[in-house]
Amino acid sequence: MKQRSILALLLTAMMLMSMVSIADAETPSTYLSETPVTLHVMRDENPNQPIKADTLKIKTIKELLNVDLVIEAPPKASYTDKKSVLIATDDMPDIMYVDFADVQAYARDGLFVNLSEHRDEMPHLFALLDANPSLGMATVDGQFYSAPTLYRTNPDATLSGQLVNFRTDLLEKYNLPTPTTWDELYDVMLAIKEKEPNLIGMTNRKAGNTTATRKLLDCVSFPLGSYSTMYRDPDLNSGWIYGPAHENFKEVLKYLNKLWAAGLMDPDYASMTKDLWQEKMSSGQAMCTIDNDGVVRNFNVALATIDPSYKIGVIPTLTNSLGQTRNTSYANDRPGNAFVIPASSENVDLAIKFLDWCYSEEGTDVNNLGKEGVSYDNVDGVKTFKEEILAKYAANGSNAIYDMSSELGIGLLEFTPRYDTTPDNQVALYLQGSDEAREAYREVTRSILNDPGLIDVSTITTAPPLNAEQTERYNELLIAVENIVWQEIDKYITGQEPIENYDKVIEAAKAAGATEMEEIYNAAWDTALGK
Amino acid sequence: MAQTAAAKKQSLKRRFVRAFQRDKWLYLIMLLPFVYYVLFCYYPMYGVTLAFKQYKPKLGIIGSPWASNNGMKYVLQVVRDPYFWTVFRNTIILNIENLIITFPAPIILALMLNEVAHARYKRIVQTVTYLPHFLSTVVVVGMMNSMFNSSGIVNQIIASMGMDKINFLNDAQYFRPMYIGSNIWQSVGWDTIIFLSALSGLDMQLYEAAKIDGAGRWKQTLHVTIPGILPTIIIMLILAMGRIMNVSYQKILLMMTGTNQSVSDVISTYVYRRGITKADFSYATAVNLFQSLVSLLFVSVTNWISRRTSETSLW
Amino acid sequence: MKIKEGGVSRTAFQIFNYTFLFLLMLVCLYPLYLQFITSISHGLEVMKGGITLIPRNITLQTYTTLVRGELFMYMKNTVVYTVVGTLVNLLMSCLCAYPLARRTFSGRKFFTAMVTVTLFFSGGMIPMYLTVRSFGMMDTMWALILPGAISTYNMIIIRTAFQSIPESLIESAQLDGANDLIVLFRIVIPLSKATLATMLLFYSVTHWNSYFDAMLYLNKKELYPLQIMLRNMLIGGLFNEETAIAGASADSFAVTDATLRAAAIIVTTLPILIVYPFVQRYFVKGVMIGSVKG
Repeated sequence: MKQRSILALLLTAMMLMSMVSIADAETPSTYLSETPVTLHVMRDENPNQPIKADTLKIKTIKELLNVDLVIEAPPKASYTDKKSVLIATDDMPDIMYVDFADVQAYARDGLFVNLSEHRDEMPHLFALLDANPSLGMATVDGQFYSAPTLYRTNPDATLSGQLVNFRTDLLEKYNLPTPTTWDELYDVMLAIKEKEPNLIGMTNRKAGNTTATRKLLDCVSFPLGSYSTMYRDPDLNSGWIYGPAHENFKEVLKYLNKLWAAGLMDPDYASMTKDLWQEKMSSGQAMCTIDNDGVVRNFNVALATIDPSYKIGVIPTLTNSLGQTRNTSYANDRPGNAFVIPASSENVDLAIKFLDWCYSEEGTDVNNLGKEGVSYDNVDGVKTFKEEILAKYAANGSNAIYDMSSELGIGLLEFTPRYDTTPDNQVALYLQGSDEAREAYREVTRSILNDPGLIDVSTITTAPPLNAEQTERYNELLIAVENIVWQEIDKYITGQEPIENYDKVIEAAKAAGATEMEEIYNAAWDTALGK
Repeated sequence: MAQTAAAKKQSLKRRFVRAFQRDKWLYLIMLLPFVYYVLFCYYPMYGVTLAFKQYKPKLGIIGSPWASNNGMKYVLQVVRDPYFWTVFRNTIILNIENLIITFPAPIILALMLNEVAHARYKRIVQTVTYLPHFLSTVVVVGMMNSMFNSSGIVNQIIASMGMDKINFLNDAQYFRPMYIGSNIWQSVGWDTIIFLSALSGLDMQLYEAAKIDGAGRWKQTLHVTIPGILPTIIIMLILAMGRIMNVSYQKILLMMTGTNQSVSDVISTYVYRRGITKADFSYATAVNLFQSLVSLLFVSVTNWISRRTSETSLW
Repeated sequence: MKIKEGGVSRTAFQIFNYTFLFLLMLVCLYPLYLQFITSISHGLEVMKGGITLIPRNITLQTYTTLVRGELFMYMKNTVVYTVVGTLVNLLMSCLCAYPLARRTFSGRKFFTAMVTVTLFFSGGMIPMYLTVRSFGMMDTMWALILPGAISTYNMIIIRTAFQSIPESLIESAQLDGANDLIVLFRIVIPLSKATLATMLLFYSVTHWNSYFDAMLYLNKKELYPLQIMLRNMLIGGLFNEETAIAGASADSFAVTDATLRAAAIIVTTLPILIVYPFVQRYFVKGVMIGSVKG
């Protein structure tokens, strides 16, 4: 009898133990759901980086979370249309990548899940949002209906912006000092032009769907003392102002006119296309351009084939006529590009959990680096891509980062709410080829990082949240004011109208609504800050 | 003769039935197209009401409330905007000038091709002149920029002749010529297709008869060819009138600068700019409705004129 | 001055005509030629600009990059959509045009009004999207074919062609016992070959170039037509403001977005050049109507 009961006890104990271990094996703590679930998400596809199914990232997500991630990726060229139709017909996937303007337009109609109400289920996201109060501007009626694209820094991170790119070899050749002010830049360009009259001084290009003039002013007006649209001037302490309707904008126009009168501006500045701009910079025809320094640095490769001494470098931020030394760098956090969960989704709870996971350290790692041990190594918190992987894609040269990101499924151009530029930085370093080249590259990027004159553009341009009426009124006024302003600006750059007459344009802009626009923004800003 | 209302109804019904029986095959043939138009053209047409509604996606178009001002909020927004009338004027002028120049060109080219005796040469010319039609707008405008900028080929030639360089790409007065010129170049070949097809259907015997009457080639063209393809020309003209309000925004957007905006800004680019800030479907629909009504007006007038003066008309 | 059939003036005109057409050909051919040489040139040379007549540093890498596995899938899709779509178009348009061309058709006024209204008024994107969705056509080929089954514009042109066939011919066929279906398919359509060939060309080119409907109604990449990929390359590339990563060597720039764009254009245009000569046969003079007298 006793033997049997001991046996029975042993058997029961064994069974219990095995049940416990089976239970553990069946539901890892990282799983978001016990049964496999499919989540449909959508973002636009950049032509350089096709979004693939069955990448390392998707496999890793399946392993870790038991979620089958299906990424629908309409082409970037048509994304605006597709997105607006999907929103308007309430036919959205579980998570969708939208512009904040869409959130403002439709959140009040109940189309998107109010993430603020799910604060407890989204600890990672809200920890980041709470840490950066300016992100609170991307709210509707004080609530978060969208999760912004956020940035996580890394040791190799670089900074980029619309900087002064100059043919530094010409400075050396003619023994000219590196300019520290905009006036000195003018002097230097004039001196070079005398020696080489066929060179174009400053060139520019159009961008997307704006005019070339607009793009030029978007790049130079802040460094020169104003800005091309609504902004908060850090040196004026004036709250929100509409740049072109203010006195300081004349300084911008005065400078450009000065360049034009001396023949230092590209005679076709108002109609330059991206292709022509690329040609002029890569063939050595132009001295200088104020544009995305990363893109411009690429032209050095083409320049080297013409003459190995030719080199485009970045000049540190220049001082303007008002004594300000300032320029903007690209924003890291991008609340304008956000992720929403439609209220009509069938997987709202799952989508919430998944979206939050993307903002966790682990999620950010998977979305940007892949799988530890497979695509990268983690040594004491320092994450490095495996040499074999970098080497494999390096052969594709300038497309290396795109090909690698596409294959692995990682990076900003993928479904990545929180991005980390580790892959981009490490590939760039690897491509330099040699350690000396890498040091030189690091020097350049470090000097930009440490440039005291650069401020994150979002600190001056992140718009306050507006309610429905304010949005409509503001948009109407903006269209009317811009119609007036942008048809006049070229006249002042080319000197067709003397700069004193610009006061007329300021008056006209104010009359058309610039003052009211400023009032709307200032009121909304104060409300958002709780004043 | 006094017929009672009931009797009138009876005879009407009988007439319907008789007509139907006589044409029953035609009605049968028409059935499939009829179903198509109902399902895919008329059923979705309720979307036109979007112009008068405050659209709420959750409620759909039909369920959305009417816009303020008796539903006229967006229509008034369109009509009361002085800048809208500027772009409206630009659209019409651009399209009419475009029509005047690009409509006759393919007809003339078709007639010229018709005169080519060498069949192979004719076919080669045809195929080659179609090619520009397939180039995308982005490429065409890009090439225009390369050729006509201040250091491009055209200005180089002008400078070598001793004249001042011309600011083709910026100057408001050159916008329309550049736009229309590039349109002709891109479309003249392709647009000849329909006329060549009409030409190929002309009766050879009419030419024989004309020759016997002593008409030379030129007179033949005047009295046989042109009248022969006139119905095609008229229909194409009326259909072209129907597109008088359509200017695709893409090409203009690529060519527009601050300086030429006063003539280059058209309805579609204006609506596009407004749409960037927010997908304003109601506003866009109101504008579309407006454009449709204007097109209808133009086509009706043209149709009426052609009905009076020739046998061909749209309806 | 009388213009003779032969003689000096005629020869002068012929010389002028041939020369003019030759020059026109050059002007039309050059841009495509430019795209071609751009597509086989090295990306760096293209970047530096100045390629006008001859390619520089020829490389086929652009094409090998373009012809990744997916290109053939997209092309196959486009071919299928074009063939099926054009057949549906032609059939539906002929069915619609024939009754409208018959002057004695009692429903003529009603149906003409019905189709003409659609020339001007349409519901817009949202209702179309909802309609397609409610018919269960999302993510299928039919979403690209059915909503545009009849282009009223093209159908009217076909109607004009049908109208030029003499009523007498039709009546005599009907006396012989033919119903309208037989008349349509045995008499009217064969006699309108030139116009129908033209419409075949128009419809198929429209399908070949279309991307908007595909973008709107298709979500699965496997169903995408060619133009979506090509257009994304042409236009999507223009918006690329993301920071570019510096590539170290010249080889890495063999393929740039400029060369890819040029190659994309060649790839789109080539098939049309191949198909067109087949359709051209039908534009031969005097192919019909000569037999219709009496």
